[in-house]
Order: sequence, then structure tokens, then C-alpha cells
Amino acid sequence: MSPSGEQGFFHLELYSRGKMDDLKKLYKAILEGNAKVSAEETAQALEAGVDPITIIEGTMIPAMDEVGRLFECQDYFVPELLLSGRAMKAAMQLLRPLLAKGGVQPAGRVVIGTVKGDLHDIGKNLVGSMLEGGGFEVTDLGTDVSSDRFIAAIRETNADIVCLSALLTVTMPAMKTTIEALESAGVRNKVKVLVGGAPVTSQYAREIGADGYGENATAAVALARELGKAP
Amino acid sequence: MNSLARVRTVLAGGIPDRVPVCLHNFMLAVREAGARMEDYRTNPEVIARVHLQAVEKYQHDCIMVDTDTTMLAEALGAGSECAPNEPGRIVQPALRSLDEVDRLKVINPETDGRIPALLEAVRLMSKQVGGEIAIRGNADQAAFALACLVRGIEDFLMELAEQPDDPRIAQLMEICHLSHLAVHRALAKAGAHLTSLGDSLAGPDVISPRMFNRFARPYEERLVKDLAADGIFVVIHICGDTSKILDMLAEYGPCGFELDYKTDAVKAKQTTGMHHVLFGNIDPSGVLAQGTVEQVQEATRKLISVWKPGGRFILNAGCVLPSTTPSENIRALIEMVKECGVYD
Repeated sequence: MSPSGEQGFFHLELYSRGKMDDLKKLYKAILEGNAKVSAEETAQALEAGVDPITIIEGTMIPAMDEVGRLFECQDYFVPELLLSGRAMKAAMQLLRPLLAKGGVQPAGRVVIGTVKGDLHDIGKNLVGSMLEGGGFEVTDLGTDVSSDRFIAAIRETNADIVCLSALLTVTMPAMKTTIEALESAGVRNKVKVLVGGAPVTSQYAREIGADGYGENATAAVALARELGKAP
Repeated sequence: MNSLARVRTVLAGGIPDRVPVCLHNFMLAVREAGARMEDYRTNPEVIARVHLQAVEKYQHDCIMVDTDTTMLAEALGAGSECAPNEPGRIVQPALRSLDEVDRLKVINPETDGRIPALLEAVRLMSKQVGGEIAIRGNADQAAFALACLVRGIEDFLMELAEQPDDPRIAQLMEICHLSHLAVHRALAKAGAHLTSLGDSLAGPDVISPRMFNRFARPYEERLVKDLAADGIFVVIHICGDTSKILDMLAEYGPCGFELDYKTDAVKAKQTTGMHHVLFGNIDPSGVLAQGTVEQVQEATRKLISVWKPGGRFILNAGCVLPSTTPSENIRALIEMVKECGVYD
């Protein structure tokens, strides 16, 4: 399918009337999943003196929000999410060093990984990518991640949110043991725990004491934003 | 009416004595038989033993012989790994780029990878129970999902969206299709009464109906047609919610559809269920593995009430049963069929 549904263009028109007119090409590149143009436009904007935060908050996050919306209403599917995620990352690659230098705070700090014993990563990668596109700083620990590695990463990054993924029913209990390990290590109160993956249900999330369950990547972003607001 | 006759009656569009049951249970069967997944993957005696023990225990009508979703991709050169007692997973695609597609060759099921073990297992089971119980040989992934695994899922999905007309994509899909087709034929020759496939990544949970129509449907339809010409009945399984592509599936030639639990059962009956055999579609994880006996009974009763009328229905889980599924839940499913699945 074309990566630009009618609704995408409609939104783009509205957006282009806004004050960030010069960044509309970047918005369009992310929406259409064009990594090359995304990087070029970001480089040009930086050269023209646009503040990195303005690029991220004014253009990239709205673009990825629109990607998420198009996914929700099934105009976009996984290939389009992957392309937009890649385009977003191409821009972020140029912006990240500048953010670090400027001491800019992200929307939240997320540690994400597939739990111990589970090697699946596509869903987890999509969630990580959409969270990054939503303005979060994402530390991806990969697959088969032990409780100890989650705990170390939470301490190291001062994370606000931990996302646990599992695709297998047999590895779902590792979500529970990871949460228990966070408690034992004294870091459970510092983070919100989100869980997801094909066999996981909201009921299971409640049973194991997680703070939330996201059915897909866009739900995870909404949840992270919601929980990020909580005291 | 024995189990085989019951299943054959349904496949032929007739009305059996009761709704037959097929179990997509290889992970559960391996655990219950005390076997190791590592042995099950490669040893035909182990494959046959775990399924025969399971059918002895649950008395289902159709054995589904399946090893994992990596058997064909491995035979085409992809690298896999497994955590202990887990099915395999592809970690290294066979092709680093589409430029390498010329290296691929159509596989020979009788000699390549782990496929000979699966074929031998079907022969062993066919000898022992083939006259009474239906054997469904699963030919692993169909062209679309197989091409994703061979090329790397994320890269291939992006290539399909960015360069759909690239002739190397068509070349890859063709090799995957012919390799997969050969496995169906070999399974039937080994004694499988019906065959099946997973096109796991072809559903709307992953790709658009438009991409499905262009890159998955043509190969699935060709397969159904070619196998029908050989007298082989094939069941197509697509993971996730397939409600949005049911109308397209309804246009296929005679075959079965195993629909995942997320698919709208009523719509399925009104579309594909009119002329095709429906397999499924109880939630394997939320209901059968994690639910109570009462929840299994309720879900099974409800599905039977929708899919039983007019026949063309074989009860199964919507996808593979987790190894942790309690045996009392499987028994509850079977008992409910005996209670509500009988035809007058």
C-alpha cells in the first residue's frame, strides 16, 4: 500500500499551515518512511539553526503520532511502521548527540527487553521504535534478558518505565519473576512496569502486579505517556 | 464412524456423526510425553511417539504433525537457534540482500534439512493408526511467510513496501513457493490424509489486505489448485485477526481455513464457512492454557453453536497450544464436543 493514506495528507495540510512550515518535508518523510529525506531535512534544519528540541517536539513526535494513528485505524500496517521508524531513527541519529550535549530531558526513560528464555524481538522492536518516536529515551536490552540485566539498566539509565515482552506462554512467568526481582532489588517503586506480547492479557498483567498492558505498539506509547504523568 | 471417516466426511462437505477434533498440540504433546524439544525436532520415532501418546490420552480425531516454523527456512539456508524446550527461531536469514537470491535452490523434501524426519514420522504413524485416525501433515510456512524468514522479516517487509516490482522479490517468492509445495506432496505420499500450512505473517495483524492480495494470496491460491489436482486437501492457517481478508479467502478453491481466535467467528461462517472447511478457533493461550475449565466449556459451546450448523467444521485451537496447557482443559474441550457437537 502507499505509505500515505488520504488521512495522512489531510493531517499534513493542517500541519503545514502551522508555524513549523519549513519542517513539513521532514514530517512527510517520516510519515512516508523515507529515511534518506528524513536525514537530509534534519541536517538542513540544524544547519539553518533550528533547535533540536523544536525539531523533535514540533515535527518528529507529531509525525510518529500520526503514524501510530494510521496504524490504529488500519491504514498503516507493520511494513509502514518499520519504514517510518527507520526514517525517524535516521533523524534521531543526528539529533541525539546534540540533545546529550544540551542536557535535554526526554519525555521519559524506558528500558525495554524480551524476558529470560524468550528470543522473539519483532514486537518488542516495534514498541521500542514507537516509544522513541514518542519522545522517550529507549534503552533496548534485546532478547533473553535476565532480571539482573533489567535491574542494572534501570539503575544505570535512571529509568521511569520498564517494558517486558514475551511471545511464549512458557516464558510469561519470567515477567512475574522479573517484577519480583525488581521488588527485591528495591527498584520496583521507582519504575512503572508495562508488559506486552501475543499471549499476554490485561488480566495477566494485573495478576503479576504490572502497571499496565499494551496490546500493540501504539497502545504502549499511550500507556507510557499516561503512566509517565502519574506521581 | 471412526475418527478418519468423521474427518473425511467433513472434508468432503458431508455431515458426520459429530464435530471432529484436531489438536495443534506438538508443544504440549512433547511435554506430556516427557520428551525434549531438541529430540522432537529431529527424531522421527520421538515425533511419532509423542503424538501417538497424546491421541491415546485425548482420543482426538486428527493428529496434527508439526515441528516448528523454521524447518523450511533452515532447509533454504537460514540459521536458527532454540532456547531449551522451545521451538526454533530464525536468527540468521539465508539472504543478506536480495542480490543473493540466485544462490537459492528449490529444496528436496526427501533429503534436505529436518524434513526427512517429519516425513518418516508420518510414515510411522500412518502404519500404526492411519486406518483409524486422520493424520494432518503440516508443511510449515507458505511462500509469503517463508520468504520473510529467508530474507529477514523486517528487511523483507520494508522491501515489499518500497520496491514491490523488484523482480528479485518474485524470484524469491517462486523458490519459496515451489519448495513449500514439494513438502505438501511429500507429506501426502508419506501417508498424511490432509496437509496444512502456516502463512503466519500474511494476515492483517502484520500486512495490509492489499499487500496480502498481491504477495500472499496468489501463491496460496496456486497451492490449493495444484494440490487439489493431486487429490490433496490442504488447510491454510494465518495468524492473528483475519476478519478483513475473509472475503478474499472465500474465493479460493476447495480447502480448509484454520482461523486464529481473534477472527470474527460469525463473519467467518458467513464467508469462508459457506464453501470451505473451518478449523479452529478457540484461544489457545487466554482460554485453553490460562483459562478455567468453565471458560473452556463456555468458549467451546459458543463456537460450536456458530460453526456446527451445516458441517464443514473441525474443532481445534486457533493456533498452537502452549506446552503449559492443562490436560483438564483439553478434556473439557473434547467432552463439550461430545455433548454439543453431535449431529442429529
